Amino acid sequence: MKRIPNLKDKLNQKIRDKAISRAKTRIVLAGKVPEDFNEEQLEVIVKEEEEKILSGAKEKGLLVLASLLGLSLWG
Amino acid sequence: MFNQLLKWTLLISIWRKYKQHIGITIALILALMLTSFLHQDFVNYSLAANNDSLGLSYVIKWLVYLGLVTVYWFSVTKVKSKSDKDSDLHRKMKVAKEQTVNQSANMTSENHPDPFANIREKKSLRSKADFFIEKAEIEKAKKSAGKE
Repeated sequence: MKRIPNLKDKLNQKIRDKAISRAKTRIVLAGKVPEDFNEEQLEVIVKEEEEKILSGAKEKGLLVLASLLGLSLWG
Repeated sequence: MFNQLLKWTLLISIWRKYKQHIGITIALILALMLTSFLHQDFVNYSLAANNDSLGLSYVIKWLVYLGLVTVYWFSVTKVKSKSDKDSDLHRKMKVAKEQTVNQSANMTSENHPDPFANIREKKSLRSKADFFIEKAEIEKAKKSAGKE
């Protein structure tokens, strides 16, 4: 029976796709193509981008939480 | 002459933008008028024939009004949501997106195999530090195997 992907898997896949897209952009901006790198190097780049996305999401989440709680960050 | 031109331009532009809204509104007004006329006829008949169901007819009339207004509300909302995504720009964007997707799919599958294909499938990725540690462990294992 085919397994139905749960929400977490879907979310992780979205984050991975976004990280790959950002990694491609980063590589292009560096004046190179993905084929110039081996798989290990590509994996490291994608991992970095994935961490950036996750930390960004956490920061935004905190801001949303703060605004929901009515805390003003500007004094 | 100029005033006429301006008036017609305005009318045509309003008609082009809101023709569905205008159509639905006219249909609502006609339906309300029809209900009202039918009810008026029934009232006249009831008064002439001393019918007891006059009160009930008012309830039915207002229920019909309420139903018509509800249907009108849903129709306008539906038209609005449809028209929000129905413009020349949206159509062009859709076509451009489809073309880009097709091109990238062709490029990936035929000329350039996706270098990220394996990475896409992996459950978790390794960082630079993970690779260093892995390499150090492999070297250590090799050394210990060489000593033995």
